[in-house]
Amino acid sequence: MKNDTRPRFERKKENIAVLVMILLCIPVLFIYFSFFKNAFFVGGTGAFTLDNFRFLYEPIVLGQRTVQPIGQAFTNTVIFTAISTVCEVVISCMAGYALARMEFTGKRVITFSLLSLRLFPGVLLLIGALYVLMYLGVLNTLFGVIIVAIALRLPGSTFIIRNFFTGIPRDIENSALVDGCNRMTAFFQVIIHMVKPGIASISMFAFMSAWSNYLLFNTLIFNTKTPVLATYLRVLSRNDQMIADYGVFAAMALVYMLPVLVFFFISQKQLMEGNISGGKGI
Amino acid sequence: MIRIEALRKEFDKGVVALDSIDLTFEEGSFVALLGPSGCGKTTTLNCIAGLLEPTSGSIYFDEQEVTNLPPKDRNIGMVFQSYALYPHMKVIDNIAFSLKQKGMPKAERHEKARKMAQKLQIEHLLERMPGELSGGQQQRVSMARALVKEPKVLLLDEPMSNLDARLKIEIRDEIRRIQQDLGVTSIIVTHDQEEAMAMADKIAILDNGHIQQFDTPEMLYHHPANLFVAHFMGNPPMNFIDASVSIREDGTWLQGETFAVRAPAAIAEKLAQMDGKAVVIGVRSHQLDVSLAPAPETLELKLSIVENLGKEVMVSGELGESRIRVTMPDGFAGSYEELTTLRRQGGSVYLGLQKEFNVFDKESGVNLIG
Amino acid sequence: MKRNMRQKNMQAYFFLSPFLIFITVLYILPAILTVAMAFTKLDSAFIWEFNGLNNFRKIFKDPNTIIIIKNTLFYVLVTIVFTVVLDLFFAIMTTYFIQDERKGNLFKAILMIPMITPAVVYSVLWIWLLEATDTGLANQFYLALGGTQAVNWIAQYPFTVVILATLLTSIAYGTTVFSSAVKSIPENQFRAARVDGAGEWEIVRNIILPNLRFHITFITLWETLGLLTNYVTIMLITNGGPGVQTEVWALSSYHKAFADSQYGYGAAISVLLILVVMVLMLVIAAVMRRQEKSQG
Repeated sequence: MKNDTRPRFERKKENIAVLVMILLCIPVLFIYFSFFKNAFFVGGTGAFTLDNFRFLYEPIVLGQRTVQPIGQAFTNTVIFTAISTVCEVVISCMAGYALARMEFTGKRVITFSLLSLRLFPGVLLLIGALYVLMYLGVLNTLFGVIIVAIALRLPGSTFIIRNFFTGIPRDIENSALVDGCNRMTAFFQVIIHMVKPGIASISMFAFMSAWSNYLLFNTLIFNTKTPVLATYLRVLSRNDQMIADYGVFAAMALVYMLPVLVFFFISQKQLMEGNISGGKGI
Repeated sequence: MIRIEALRKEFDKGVVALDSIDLTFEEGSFVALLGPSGCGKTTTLNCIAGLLEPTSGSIYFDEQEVTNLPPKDRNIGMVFQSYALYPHMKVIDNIAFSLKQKGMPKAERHEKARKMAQKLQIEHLLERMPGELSGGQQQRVSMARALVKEPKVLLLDEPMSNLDARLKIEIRDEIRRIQQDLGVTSIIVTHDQEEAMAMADKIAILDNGHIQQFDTPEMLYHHPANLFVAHFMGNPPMNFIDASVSIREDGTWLQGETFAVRAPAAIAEKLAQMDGKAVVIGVRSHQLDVSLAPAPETLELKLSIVENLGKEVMVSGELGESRIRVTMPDGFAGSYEELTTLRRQGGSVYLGLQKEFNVFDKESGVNLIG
Repeated sequence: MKRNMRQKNMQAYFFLSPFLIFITVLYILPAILTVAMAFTKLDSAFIWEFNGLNNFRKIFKDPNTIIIIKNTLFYVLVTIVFTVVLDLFFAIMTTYFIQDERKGNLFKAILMIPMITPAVVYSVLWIWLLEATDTGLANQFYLALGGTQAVNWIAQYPFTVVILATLLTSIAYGTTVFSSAVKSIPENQFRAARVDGAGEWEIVRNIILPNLRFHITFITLWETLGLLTNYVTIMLITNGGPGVQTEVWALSSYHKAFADSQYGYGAAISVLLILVVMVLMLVIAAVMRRQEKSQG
């Protein structure tokens, strides 16, 4: 703060505010820290151990049950997250571009539906979605959950990216057309680069939501053949079965959350921006 | 050569932006489309570029009809008001972008881009990103980008409206120089008449989607085709005085509320059949004789403002309903101080029409002399 | 001209078709089906048998319904009030009082941690924290502060726990929205107020809050919508229990449909909530339209 030219009383206020915020944040951090400490230290003695991480490569026995290694759940989660994120981003970019920049019959109707669906909580329709999946014969499959997950998130992300497309100056697009592009090449060589922040932001949200999604798997998959990390962890923490071992659970949670945390810290800014442009309806 | 025939453009809800536009631009000429905002000049330009599709009419580049060709097949270069540089590409890639679309290998297109940059004195900027450039620099890059493909036509859409006054003059000379060097047919859209006059060989003045006059700057200035053009061209604007034609034995008179002047022979001839017609006399501020004493066939102007502009003195006042501005002729007897005193005392000066002025039909606005 | 429009339509619908297919098949169609199911006694056998308004009659006859409505109202109202107040507090603290953006953003990032924690982990965190034994973290504190006996917090104060847990996940969103709104207030307004002798409290009340009026309305409505329909946190911590003490409307629809396989009945509960949600959506749309107008 070499160039801080503010009067001293203001800096004093800032320091007090910082202090208050630290005091308020400490409990949250303390709880998280204490919880994840369980992963590395044996309950009674406090000795350091990596024993809790054995689920990474071998079946472990907890009480009366045997827990399979995390491999399959991890693979499924990666597949689910990757496919649904990529599809969501590509589809919403295409639709958002058309809605922002093209003239066609039915534009008003589709735009209106987009604006309404964006506000509509899709989780209320899961009963109907379940029936559709059953009819399509993809109930209880990863594929079924993927398509529902994409559909439920499309209105929101299309809305966000449409606003980014609307913000691109027309001149730039015209310039590309004059310089020898057609709509397609202009889209891929010029337009898409100008909505990179928007793409980053919707990818972030898509990733976060897919990676931590629990509800859809719990609702649309009725067997244990297709575990993902969320349901894998959940099995250990059902309300009716006392959690056998917090150490193992904390270790699993840590593995589960690692990608989220990494993503979060590298892209916090987009997360906040997307938060705002997604909500305010500009 | 570019030929536009009976061009018409309607937008949604039947708004007519352009109607019956006929224009022919000579090879290598520099033409300005001039008019107030919303007059249709940018629409015309976009139709020429292929960014808008005309409702009817046709556009020819030489003998080839291009009306329905997409922009990329017309071989045009375009400079936009906002410059529209691609923000994610280095300057050199911006300039070479159109060559890349043609499939030219990288080394070759960079070489061409470099040469064009040299012409515009922006070689030192080639490795930068557009965001790091000043407005004037971006302008030059966008010129280079438009010209590097050796276009058949160069289109400029208000290219200088985002620049400050000094830079504007510098860039406009630059554009003119390069245009003449390369001999590329160029069309500029502008609302700044001074800019149009300084740059263009010919100017098309548009209003309400119609061409009002298409002529050289001199003709537009001295012989505006109608009242709209007369109002629009020149600074200070032309003075307008209401009168009616009265043909008597001793000549053709222009009769106003407070004056009567005899028309010079050349003008009288044009007005021969128009006895009693309501007209508007249009006369530029420096085309009036001024005297301090009343004389026959003069117009009395009650002074309300006296301005010293440095190189000349300008007075203005009311004459009937209209406001008249007069630049004092070189040999004028009275000084600035004298005129100021005169104004304070509520005095008047007396204006005499010279040989050259315009007379417009009050009803239709058409120039009866031109 | 006509041929041209057709070409434009082809191009646009090429871009739109994946979106439209997904939305039609997995959004619109489920919506229609959900409404239709509400008038059937569809169960795990999935036989469509319409039974008119029976499901709705059943809802109103169920003695638990009134409890669930009370729970829902209490849950939404209390959470929303605290959420908005805390959002404002944190936004003003991290943006107005802490002008150093890096510090402000660090605190906002910490506030975001509960939001980004996957629900499955987040719920266990609370269960672990509030464990009924002496070794539970909350109880350790309680005993250290003079408590005599370990408390089973979740069993004893289920609603408080549920609200606290929800609250912590919901403050991040409002805080970011408010704080960007605070940031967009021109600095000159603060300077002018200070020159006029306003204290910090007056600045907050007379400058910041009026400037945030739209955002506060928006967040209140938006979060209400979210609280009415998101039941994952409650489901994972108390699952509506003990008994129906923390059962809320959306969760009860889930329980009826997916736990008891009474799909028709669950859909009927869902449809009633959808009606409420649609009213809320209309209000949100009206508020946003008014804001757009006032901004020109």
